[in-house]
Amino acid sequence: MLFNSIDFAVFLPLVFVIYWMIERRGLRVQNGFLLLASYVFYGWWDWRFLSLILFSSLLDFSLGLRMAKTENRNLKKRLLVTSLLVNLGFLGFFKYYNFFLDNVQEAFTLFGSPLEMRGLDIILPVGISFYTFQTLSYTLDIYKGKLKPTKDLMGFLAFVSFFPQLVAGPIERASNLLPQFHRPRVFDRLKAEDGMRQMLWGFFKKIVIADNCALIVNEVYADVGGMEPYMLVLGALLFTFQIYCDFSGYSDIAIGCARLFGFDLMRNFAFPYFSRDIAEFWRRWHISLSTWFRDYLYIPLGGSRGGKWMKVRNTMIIFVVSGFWHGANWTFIIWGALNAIFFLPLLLSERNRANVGEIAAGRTLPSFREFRGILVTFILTNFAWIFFRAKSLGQAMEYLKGILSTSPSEYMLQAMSLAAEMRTEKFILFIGFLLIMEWWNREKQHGLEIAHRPPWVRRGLYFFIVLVTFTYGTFQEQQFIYFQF
Amino acid sequence: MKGFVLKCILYSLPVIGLHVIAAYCADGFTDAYYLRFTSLPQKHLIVGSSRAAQGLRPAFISQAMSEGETSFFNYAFSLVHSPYGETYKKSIEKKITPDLKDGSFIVSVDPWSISAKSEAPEDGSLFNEWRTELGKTERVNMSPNFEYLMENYPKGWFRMILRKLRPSPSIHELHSDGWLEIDLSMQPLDLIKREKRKFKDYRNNMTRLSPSELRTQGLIATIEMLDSMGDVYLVRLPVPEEMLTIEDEYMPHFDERMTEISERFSLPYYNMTLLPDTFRYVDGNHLYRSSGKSVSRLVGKFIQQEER
Repeated sequence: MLFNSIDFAVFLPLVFVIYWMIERRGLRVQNGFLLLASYVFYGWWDWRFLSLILFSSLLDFSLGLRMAKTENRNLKKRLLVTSLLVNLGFLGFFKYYNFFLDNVQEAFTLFGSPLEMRGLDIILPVGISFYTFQTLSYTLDIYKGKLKPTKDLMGFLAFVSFFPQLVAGPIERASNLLPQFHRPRVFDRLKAEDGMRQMLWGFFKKIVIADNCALIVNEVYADVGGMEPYMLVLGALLFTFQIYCDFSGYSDIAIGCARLFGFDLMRNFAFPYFSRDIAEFWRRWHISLSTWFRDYLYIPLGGSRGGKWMKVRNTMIIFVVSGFWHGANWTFIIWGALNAIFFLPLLLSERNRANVGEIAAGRTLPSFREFRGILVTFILTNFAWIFFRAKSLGQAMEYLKGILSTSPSEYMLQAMSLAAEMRTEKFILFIGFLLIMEWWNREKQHGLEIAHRPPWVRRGLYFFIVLVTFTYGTFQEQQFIYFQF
Repeated sequence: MKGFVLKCILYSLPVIGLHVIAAYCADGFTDAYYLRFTSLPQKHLIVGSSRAAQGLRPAFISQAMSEGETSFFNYAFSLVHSPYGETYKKSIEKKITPDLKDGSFIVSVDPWSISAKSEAPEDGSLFNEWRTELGKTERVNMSPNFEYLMENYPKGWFRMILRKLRPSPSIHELHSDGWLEIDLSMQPLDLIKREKRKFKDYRNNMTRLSPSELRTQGLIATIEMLDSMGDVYLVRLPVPEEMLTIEDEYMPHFDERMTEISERFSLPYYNMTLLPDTFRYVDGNHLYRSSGKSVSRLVGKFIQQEER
């Protein structure tokens, strides 16, 4: 079920009303109802894969209990390894089987011994990358002694399948979300209202900006060789906003929706395009995934401790694995590696934490230095996104070649004719509106956190956003980009 | 909580209200198909692809029949939406007045509407028209057609209100009789460019598509259904010479097959490609509106003669 669908528009109010109506019947009933609703939400896409998420959940639930019962370190380790192997095994099979097969075949062909191996027609279960990491955080934290296992199966199943964040995150830690299933939720009007605001903002980003950008980006990437250089630049620029608005929009809707039910999910995006360097970007982009890799991969590998080469090794591993997590394609691996290359100079010169404070704190506008940092970081991420979006390395290289194939003066001429063409594309103006709103609220949790503003400002903005969404929004079925991960 | 729910309802009501108003604003400029799903069930239909959608003008067919009572409704779409098959047949059935026995149906035929992807032309599971506006719309006789708009209208609904308040030029207008009027520049250079592109596309179609017996059976099933409800007239609309050459090369026995079908059901087949090519085309494929007028009158006269 997509958030931007009529089905969800009917589903959510129904679930909300019933959920709070049965509050008096106790936590178990409420959790049970949430579990049912979440399975309906997930099964709406394909009911066959419910068995997979149920199996993963039951496995980790029982392994967690077993781990806590034993003092034997080796047994604990074996149980953890079982959890890792099974969960990552499923993920590996559904997501990476054909990729590995193709690469093995290519390698054999390269060495002059072609290998005939048939790929499988595998459907990637929606959300598998997300809920797998979520359940793994449970068993990993129990193993490390950071978390006690739960005996409440219903609560645990509801935690794994919690519908607002099930299919595209944020990837919740058991230590954050699971306890919320074990304590009574009380309806908080202010929280719910801000949740609605956050959802509205998420819908605006997705429907007005991301999906309109997608129409042009898809056209550009469908015919890279036939596009003028300025169209390639435009395509790259628009994709930068598409992926941000698509993914952060989803997160906003997920977090806002969870707040309606009394849950607090972790923040997933903190206005990453205002980052002053790439290290700051990675503290602000897809926070739930980057912190997951930091805590469960980077730190166990040694983190930033050790010599220079250890730091380089660990950084490369984490970024490449993060890239690979996104999909079974060399383009994602190269995207990860590029980000590692951008990050390493900061790490090695110990400037990776140079920008941890708020941007333009106490000021309206950034300083020249901050603005320069924002621009450079934006350009670097823009460049890397070309690989992320391209369907192959060949296409990415063709894209870059196309961009570089014209002179600056020619670009100026083309940019002017493009500006004339694009003036009818009002959603470009709304990108400006997005940037202004998010800059204005950069110290808040989301772009529309305006509870403290006067009523006329709030209502004016709601009216404007709703009007814009239902006039200029695109309602063609554009799936959220991160659904494919 | 009650206060919150009330507030949500209060905020939602104007939004829902505006959507209802927007639905009433939907018209022939909304898109190229919507109005066809808003008329009442019809007694006399034109079915086929975009050639018929743009080329056959119901008003002029009726005029030529000089009865004034037989008013056709153009329920032709495009090669993507309405190639012959189960999906189109079901939709046509829903469009026809129930228990009809004295209807008249113009079935426009061409080689492409009985073709399918070359990889597997006989594999019905690969036919994609069920995903289109035609395939997704269950209710085809509702005004406003909320189902159609919710499933298919890709933009914000408030645009329809804006459009009503501030009309702007459009290259297409779907009339209430189902005729799709296209308004493109007929300047020679523009025309030549469009023709070149169209002929190139159709030459590519010769390898991309293959004649499909399954689709032909779909055509036959449609004819069979319509034949039980009234009179059916098979029509092959005129095309420019170059397009005809492409079609003859692609499906050399097309006319024979159509003649065979028409004889099987004892229905007339009007092959207009045999007429002198004095018509104008928008793009080497679709009739220009003035030629559509002439062609429609010829079809009307043909039907009148056949009825006698």
